[in-house]
Amino acid sequence: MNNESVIQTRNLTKYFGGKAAVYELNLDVPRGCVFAFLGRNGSGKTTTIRMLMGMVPPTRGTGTILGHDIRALTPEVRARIGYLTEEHQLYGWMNVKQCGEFQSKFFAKWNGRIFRGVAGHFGLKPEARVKDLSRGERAGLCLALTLAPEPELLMLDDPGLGLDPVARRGLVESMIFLTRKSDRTIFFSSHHLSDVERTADYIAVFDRSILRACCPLEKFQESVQQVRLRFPGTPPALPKIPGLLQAVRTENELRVTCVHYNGEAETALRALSPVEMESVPLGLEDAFISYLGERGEKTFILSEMEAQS
Amino acid sequence: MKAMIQKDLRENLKLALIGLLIFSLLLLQAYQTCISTLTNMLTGNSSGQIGALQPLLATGLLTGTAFFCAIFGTALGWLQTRNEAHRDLWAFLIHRPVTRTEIFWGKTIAGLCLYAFGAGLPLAVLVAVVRTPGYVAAPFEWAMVVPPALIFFTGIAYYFAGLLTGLRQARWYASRCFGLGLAIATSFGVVASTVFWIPTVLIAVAVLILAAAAWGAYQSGGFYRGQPVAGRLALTVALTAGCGVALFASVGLLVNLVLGPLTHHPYVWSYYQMTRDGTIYKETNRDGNTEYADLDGHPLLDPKTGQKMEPKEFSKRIAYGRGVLSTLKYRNRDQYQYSIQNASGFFSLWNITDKTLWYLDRHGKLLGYDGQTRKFIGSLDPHGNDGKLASEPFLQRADSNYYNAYGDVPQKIIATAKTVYQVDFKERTLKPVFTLTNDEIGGYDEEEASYEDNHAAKNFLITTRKTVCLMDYDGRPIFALPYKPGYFEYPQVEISFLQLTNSSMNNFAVWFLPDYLMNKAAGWKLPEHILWIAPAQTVTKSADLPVLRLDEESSWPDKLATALLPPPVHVEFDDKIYKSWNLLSYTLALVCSVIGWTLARRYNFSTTASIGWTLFIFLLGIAGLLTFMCVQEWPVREICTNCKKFRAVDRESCEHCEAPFSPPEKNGTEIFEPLAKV
Repeated sequence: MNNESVIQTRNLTKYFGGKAAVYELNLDVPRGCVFAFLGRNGSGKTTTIRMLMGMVPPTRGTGTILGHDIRALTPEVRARIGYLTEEHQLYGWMNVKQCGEFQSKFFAKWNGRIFRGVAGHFGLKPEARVKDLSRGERAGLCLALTLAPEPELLMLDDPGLGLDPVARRGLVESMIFLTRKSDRTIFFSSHHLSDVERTADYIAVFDRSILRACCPLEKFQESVQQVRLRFPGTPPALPKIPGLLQAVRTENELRVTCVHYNGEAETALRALSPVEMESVPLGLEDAFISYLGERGEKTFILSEMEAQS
Repeated sequence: MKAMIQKDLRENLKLALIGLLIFSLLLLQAYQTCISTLTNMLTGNSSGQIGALQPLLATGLLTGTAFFCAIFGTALGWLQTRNEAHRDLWAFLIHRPVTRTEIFWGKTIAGLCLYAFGAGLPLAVLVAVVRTPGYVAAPFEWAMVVPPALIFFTGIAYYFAGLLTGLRQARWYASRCFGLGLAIATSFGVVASTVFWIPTVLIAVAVLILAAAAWGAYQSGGFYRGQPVAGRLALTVALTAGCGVALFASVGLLVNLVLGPLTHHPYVWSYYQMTRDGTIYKETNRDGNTEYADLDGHPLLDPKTGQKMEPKEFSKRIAYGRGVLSTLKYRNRDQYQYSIQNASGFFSLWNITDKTLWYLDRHGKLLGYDGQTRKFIGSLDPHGNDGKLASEPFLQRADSNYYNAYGDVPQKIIATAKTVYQVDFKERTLKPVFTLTNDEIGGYDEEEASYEDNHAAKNFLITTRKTVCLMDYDGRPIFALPYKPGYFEYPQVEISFLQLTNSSMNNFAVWFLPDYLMNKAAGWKLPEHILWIAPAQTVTKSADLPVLRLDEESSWPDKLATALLPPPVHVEFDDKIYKSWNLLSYTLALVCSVIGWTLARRYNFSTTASIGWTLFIFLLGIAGLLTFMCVQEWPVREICTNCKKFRAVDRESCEHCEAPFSPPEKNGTEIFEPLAKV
């Protein structure tokens, strides 16, 4: 085992009924990084996190977190992990202060300053009841409760889910600036790629229960490229391109997005004799959407669309 | 753990308060019923169960308590887990640096405290009220607290069953609530038991099993896999009971509601009747129709009409009678036989005179309570009413659970083991009527007086170790017979009062009836022995008649229902099971165990586990198979890409060819790069 990995899985698989929610996941998360876990809804992100936290048993495969088997996490290991669930559920009858007091009684290491600081950052009054808090405020309270024990690993399951952009930005800022230490690892899932782009060192991308990418953020952006080809008339039929994700044909333009764009792909495209051919830089969001979106060729040429219809 | 306890106390306090309120109202209503029963009895307007005078023994209160404790316990346990069953809240609860056992105990301690608060506190207040003079005009002793206390403790089994139900990862229509089956079975056991230690052990075992099953569920988040062995065993036992109860209820409904109406099976019941001229007839009830025949089987005809005798006409000819059950056989045993259904184990209401209620308690003391002040006024014994407890115990009479304000003979006599006394409740005095020296009284009762006689009984019947004697109230014997056959095999003696006619010169007939269990053990060979007695105290005639039993032949749906019972029940209760249906039972058990074995092999159980489960299923039949299917989690199976056979997805490699699962198929878009520490 790699001693530097805080999370390691081997062939980790989870079935719900006959459907594989996570299939043969092999993952190594190095210590001290911010690791973003991406994928569409139902792709297996939450299930993976819940398996890693010992909340649901894997169907097969193994996993360790901080070097301990995920099937038998001890209280000592749990004390080293902060876990923020996606819906920020808490006891509605408690107030903010009671939440802090309740949680603090379980942790030997409890930093009240952090708790108060994060709660203050979100404008939470100590006497405010949880059931009366807005979703953003509740997320802030959950984050405060998660951070106060000063965990060395933070597992955040879609922390910005359901929050408005301002609340989400506040949460992400708190998460990053208050928690970032050299030896602390943050593992989070998200749909908000701008947050990921600002914070993550590494990303892993799930596509229909299968891990398709796991690499530094920059590597992902480099690997997914788009090429725009212009033609004097209707673009010709697209030949077989290795790593093709999407191709969009319009009246006199062809946009090709593929992974691992290389000489072979370039040669194949040049053979179409475009009048102009240029590489278009993609942001993470565009790259991600292309990567997980519908594969194959789309046509927006009116005559062909009419003929098809 | 302290924080967890405090949190759960606070979180579920509302439910406990609601429970407290409902149960308090229920108990208050039971107390009011007790007071109104007393009032009605004092005014002579009411008959009723004697237990209704003591709220702790009142059937209504015990039934209400049983339902309340079961529902409250279940609701408390279920809500305690259900409130946190949302996966994120569950994660918040579980993900903290304490063991799941500590979390379980934190919640359980809080839950049990709230249960004690909601159900125990009102009961404790009721007990305090009942034993305070001036509230209840009936005897109190601490043993009376046992029935409601046992019901209260049964509620703890329901509490753990509720916890288990809230946590179990199963579908509602399948087995999620089957944990309740064990608690329900325990309730039935508590109600049906007649020996104190049985319900105590039942409750302790049920609580232990359900607590272990709930604890196991906490360890694994409600899944069977991942539980410690103790949790899995407890869950299996709990679900076995649940499956048994579900099966029993389903078969009962099927037989009674579906198959029963389709099949007609006559209910036949026969017994002997004696008319006033001393002739014995056999009365047979068949589907509500009554027929009379003489002992040779000839139908009895009405001489007026020449038609078959009608019950109304026949009832005019029946001789009045009275029976005495000899208690000598049980004299040295503790008279208190535990039973929730029978309050007479504690006391019987002997008499109501001048607003004073006289009770004979289980210790043989005649205790008086003022009906208006509801206070104890003292006891009555051979030395007079001195306000102290009597020293010589009086004997109970049989059938003293019900007080009939209209029909019962005012009881004039009471007996100790050696002496019969005539009682004057107005003067509160006892006058010896009859005393034995070398003998001991077994039982006694007064004559059934007719309406014509204005309820004025003239005689009483008494049995001793050696004799059966009818006496008048001055202690003069009308007749005396040797008690032969003896009281051990024939504990019950009945007397029929006959009329002298031209054809019959007998004025009494004495019936010696065999003990049911001893007769059963003897193969029903002990007959009913009857003697006819003439006025000169001479036995003029005797007869031995075979004992008539209920027709125990059942309909085929009943037989089918018993065939579904597991094989060990057939072995244990062989005489009650219809032998021709045994084969079906064993066949069903065999078929179930074959299915179980096949499932176990298909899902790659170890050989030991497969054999163990197969044996388990064979022993328990259909209930065993249901349990097996409910307890286990059944992983989906896929076709192995290597050997093309079905393989379970929860194994690391194929059970047939040992091939690992194929990695995810590559589509050329994968982006992987080794990650280094930042």
